[in-house]
Amino acid sequence: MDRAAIAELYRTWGPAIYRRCVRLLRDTEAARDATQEVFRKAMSSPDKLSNPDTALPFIYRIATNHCLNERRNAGRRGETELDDLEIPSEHAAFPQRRLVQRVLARFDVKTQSIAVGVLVDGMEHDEVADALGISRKTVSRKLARFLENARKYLERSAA
Amino acid sequence: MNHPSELKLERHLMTPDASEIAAHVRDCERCRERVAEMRQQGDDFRRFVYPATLDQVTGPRFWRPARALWLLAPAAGLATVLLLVRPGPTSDYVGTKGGPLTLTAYAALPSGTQALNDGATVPASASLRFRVRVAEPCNLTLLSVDDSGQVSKLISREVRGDSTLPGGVQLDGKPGLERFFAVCADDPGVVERAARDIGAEVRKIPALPRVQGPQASLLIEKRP
Repeated sequence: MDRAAIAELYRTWGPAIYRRCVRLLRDTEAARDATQEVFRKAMSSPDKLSNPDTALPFIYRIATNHCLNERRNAGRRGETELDDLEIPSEHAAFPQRRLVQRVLARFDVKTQSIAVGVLVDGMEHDEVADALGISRKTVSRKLARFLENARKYLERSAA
Repeated sequence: MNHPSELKLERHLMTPDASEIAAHVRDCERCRERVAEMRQQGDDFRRFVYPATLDQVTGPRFWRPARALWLLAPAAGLATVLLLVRPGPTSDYVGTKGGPLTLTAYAALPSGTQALNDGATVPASASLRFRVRVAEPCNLTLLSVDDSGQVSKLISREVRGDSTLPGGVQLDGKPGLERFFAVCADDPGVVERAARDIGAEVRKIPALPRVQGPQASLLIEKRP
């Protein structure tokens, strides 16, 4: 693929990647760097980017995994803590944000992606399954496990 | 009330004519606000991120040093540069040569790459690149303020000596004045706050108030 074609794909899908990275990283500088990395990764399957039907879920999956890894790595490196993820108010019954962050960090990236998809992005289980390329059953199972651990963690914290 | 997911909102943005959630977005204040925010982020990408990162994502760097120098050569002969350099907020204009910080902007014009003088008129959607020279290594913040008071943070990075800043900036297409500030400061937040204090007075204020450290600025006028 020549430079002009790559540039055109970047112009088309870059905004969606950037938005995803801003949403998860809550930092425009970090999101700018992440956008490049995510696009480079996405270009490993240019056919998916060239197909409008597959491009958006593909980007969503790569960007989500990349940014959640960035958050995790930043924490390990002891860098300035990234801002909390934005948990919509309809999930008010869910443990407080800070606790969500702590619990999220204890899980693998796939579980994190599922939890973020449902709790942060407001996606249905089917939609998360499609976007992440996994079964609906896996989504339900991992989310249930995540929520259970979150509750236990909250109870321990309260005690 | 169930709101569309982020992915559905993305689809709505990409193909508004085929959107399944258009009616919901129209009637839902929260979703309208989110869509507006997403549009703004898309504009930010096209204006700042795309030009600054395109070279990196398209493989071999387009702006290789040799090529960049070749592009800059005619501009270097054209004219002097722009700038107002002030070591601090209370001193008067100092000048450019030999100062602690100089800033040069180059516009990609149909006639070729051209260095911009202070007050230069450029197409409102022109692409700009920047070059700075610092006497001492410093943490440089480059931002712009337009005549509506909107502040756009462009670059924050360590610079040494004479360097062309990576990437570039594509102007927003809105006619009017815009001033670029380059500032050596440890805290970019202080620079950004000072820029916000300027408001719409970009023509009259060539240096950011209450900012310690070398700074330089360049005013341009964007024409339709």
